[in-house]
Amino acid sequence: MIKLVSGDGAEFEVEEEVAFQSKIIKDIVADADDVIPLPTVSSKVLIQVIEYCRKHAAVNSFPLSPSSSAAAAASSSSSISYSKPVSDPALRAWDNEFVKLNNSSLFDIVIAANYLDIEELVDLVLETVADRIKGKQAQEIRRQFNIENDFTPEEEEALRRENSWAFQNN
Amino acid sequence: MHGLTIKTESSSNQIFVDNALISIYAKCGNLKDMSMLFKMMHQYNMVSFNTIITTYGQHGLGLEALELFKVMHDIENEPTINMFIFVLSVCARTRKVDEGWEYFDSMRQKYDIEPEEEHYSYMVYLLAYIVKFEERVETILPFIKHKFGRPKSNKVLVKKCFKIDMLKVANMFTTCMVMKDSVDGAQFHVHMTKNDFARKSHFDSDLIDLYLKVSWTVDAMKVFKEVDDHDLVVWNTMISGKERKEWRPFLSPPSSPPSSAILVAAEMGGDPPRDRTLDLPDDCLAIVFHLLGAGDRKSCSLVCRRWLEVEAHSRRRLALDARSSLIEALPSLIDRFDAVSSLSLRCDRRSDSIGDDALELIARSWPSLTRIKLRACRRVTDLGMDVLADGCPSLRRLSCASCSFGAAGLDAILQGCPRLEDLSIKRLRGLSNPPHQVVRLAVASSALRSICLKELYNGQCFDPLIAGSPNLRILKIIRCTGVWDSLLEVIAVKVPHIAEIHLEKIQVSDQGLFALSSCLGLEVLRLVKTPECTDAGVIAIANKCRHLRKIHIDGWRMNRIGDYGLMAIAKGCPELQELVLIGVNPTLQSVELIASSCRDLERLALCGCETIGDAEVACIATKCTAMRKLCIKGCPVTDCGLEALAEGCPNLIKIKLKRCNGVTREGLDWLLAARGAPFVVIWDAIELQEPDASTSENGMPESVNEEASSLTEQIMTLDLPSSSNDRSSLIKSRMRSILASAVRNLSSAGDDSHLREAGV
Repeated sequence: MIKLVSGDGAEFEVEEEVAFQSKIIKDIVADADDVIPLPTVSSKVLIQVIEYCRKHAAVNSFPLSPSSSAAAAASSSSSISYSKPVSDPALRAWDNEFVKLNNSSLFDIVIAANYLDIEELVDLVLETVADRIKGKQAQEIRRQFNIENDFTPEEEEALRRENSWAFQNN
Repeated sequence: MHGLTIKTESSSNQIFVDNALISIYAKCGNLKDMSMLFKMMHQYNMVSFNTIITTYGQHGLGLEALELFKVMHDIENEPTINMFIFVLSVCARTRKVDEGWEYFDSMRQKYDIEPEEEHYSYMVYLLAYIVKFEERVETILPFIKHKFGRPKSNKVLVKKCFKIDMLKVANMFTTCMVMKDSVDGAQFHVHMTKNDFARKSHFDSDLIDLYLKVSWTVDAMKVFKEVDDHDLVVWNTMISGKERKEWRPFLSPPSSPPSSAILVAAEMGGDPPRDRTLDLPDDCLAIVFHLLGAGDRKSCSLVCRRWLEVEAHSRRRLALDARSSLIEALPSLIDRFDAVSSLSLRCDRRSDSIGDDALELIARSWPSLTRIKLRACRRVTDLGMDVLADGCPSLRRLSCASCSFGAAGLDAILQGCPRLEDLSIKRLRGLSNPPHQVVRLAVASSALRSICLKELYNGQCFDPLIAGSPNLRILKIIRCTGVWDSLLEVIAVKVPHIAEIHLEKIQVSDQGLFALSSCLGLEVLRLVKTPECTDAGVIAIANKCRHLRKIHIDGWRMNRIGDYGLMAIAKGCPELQELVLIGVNPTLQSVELIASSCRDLERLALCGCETIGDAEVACIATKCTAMRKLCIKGCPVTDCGLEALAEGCPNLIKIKLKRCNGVTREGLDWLLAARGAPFVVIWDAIELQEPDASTSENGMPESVNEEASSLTEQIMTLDLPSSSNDRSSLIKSRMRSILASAVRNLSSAGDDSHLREAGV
């Protein structure tokens, strides 16, 4: 078991394979009984991150279910490849539930995940952030994330003119 | 773990373990444990001192750091050059001017170490805290003047620093000037941030500190926002600075960085909705932008300055409207998007396009471009292409359509861009202009991997290039005039390792196919509407090219390719995975042979095959065990034939049926119920699916795009088998391209449900 200590002093004991979802922890842990202080992560966020790691550690330890491993074996001879374990539909559905959070919580998680170097979690949250941007105009995006518009109206207008040279789809 | 090391208390490599521990504590900001451990260590070495001293310095415990340095002085008599950097930085941070000078002097005199840039930069920084600023500058100048010459004023000095890349010294001087003379300093700071100099957080934190001292709160906040990653030091500086100024409530609580000051701030400030994107490091924000399409990225660039900048700097692909007046907007676009590697320039048919001058500006300003697409840039001449080749030598892909330059321009590109691997040329008018007729591309290229020629007159001028590209893997010749057999003969000799050949609506005969059959590595072959090719040619290839994975044949209902060719494929190509037959009429005999010999066949499409009926489908169902996707269009198949699919083809996940009049909704519903998920039927315009099978869709998001692109291709080729002679074929081909572009647009939106609704 590895003990993680959040910024506000709460201690969490987790199994090695759960903690090792974080590459940073995996790199610095030398001993199974380590105590790892995570001063930049609050316990509220750490609980969510551990929940994610626990779920993914459980699925990743059996990387392929029997039926999908057969499919993978069959596809190894063909051009189709199953690159990511996230293609597991059940896990994907779980992930989709996991990120149903408000923006503030999402940012807390992505900052913690970035700090802990949990690549899949960073990607998952950033994808969600991207989904919340898609199809919105600048003003709607600002409202969504409480971003202050620091352009003058003239600058914004000039920028719009400049943007008109770029095509919508590549 | 610490406890454990105390218990074991031993071992020769104790010191390394302790050093590692110290650095862990240091990284976590756990100073108390760190110093405790340090006191308990039996031996020290440079590493331990380094770590501890820098950590102390970062946390503003300058006294302790210097104390340690003195201790180190006593036990280790040779401090390294790096050590002095740390010490000087500590002095600089903790405003210990005199000690700093002392160490600086002793460094040169006692230890005979020649100070480097870093050392000078911290010394300059120390100057900021000295009243007799000018005087001290004079003292330090002799040391640096052999690098700069003697500058007239501080401004000149800073400018020189910029020029010769002594960024750190420049940074420090700027900082000094913020203290001494705010206006000048600020100007230089603006200059530096614009040029993205030295974006190191500890410099930023120093700047914040200084701004706060001179009460430039707005600027301090600005720098703070610009900092890439808000580490402990930056936050501490910001908050302690703000506390000094007594505007605590101004700062709402940040969630990530911990420090007592922040926790205090958190308790005091309310929590109004806050821009949390500020906490997101730039590279994370860039990842978000990479997940968005060009339209969304445009909106993002308008959100705020930071987003504008991050979006611009992370932009790799850019598509610009290439009307002639683009040249006026180009300089600012070039300035803004400084990381572009893939550029597309598109002009609409009715407008005047950009010319050579614009292309020259582009080539000079974006020298690292690797991909360029030119569409209808009709005013670009051979000269422009020459400049492009000159400016962008690392070009890997060039694609141009409806342009007017000629062979000389292409020649320049091939000569100037030795890494060009992908060349795609469509409707290049300059090739057919009489003066260019004699010009032939005679260049050899070992880098070229793929060549695509579409709708060209005089496309034969590419023959020598193709012959001189021994590493060519893919060749597509589509709707080009002239006879192409001789090129295939050349390929057989000069490019024997070619893997993929597409021949569509060109004049090519069995003679060419016979030659091609000696390219034993051929994996993909498309013969689309090449009416002179017959079974004999297909047999020759099938007998010898045993690694064919994909074969597309559109026989144009000529019945020149049929059972014999297909039987040869069955016997000769055991690795076949994909077979598309359009306007070809295979009988049960060849279908059976293919089904039983090609054990890897995963995708099969049969379109407008008058001979494919229930018996043939039943045969496929029982024998094609690897089959995943089956497409049947315009064939006399009925519900009875589909019945066999309820049991057969265990890996089948998708059937597409179109214009098969014998198939009914009832029959398909029965089939769906019989097979269960995961299984989808697309029947004319409607997608049919077992109601409870929706979850399986989530499971394969990656296949969507792949599918969409193959759909596009299929519409281009499979749909509406055309008859050769009448006017309706023109209308049909029009329709095909409209449909195809519709699908392309939809698929770029990444939404497959729309795709299916669109009737594909």
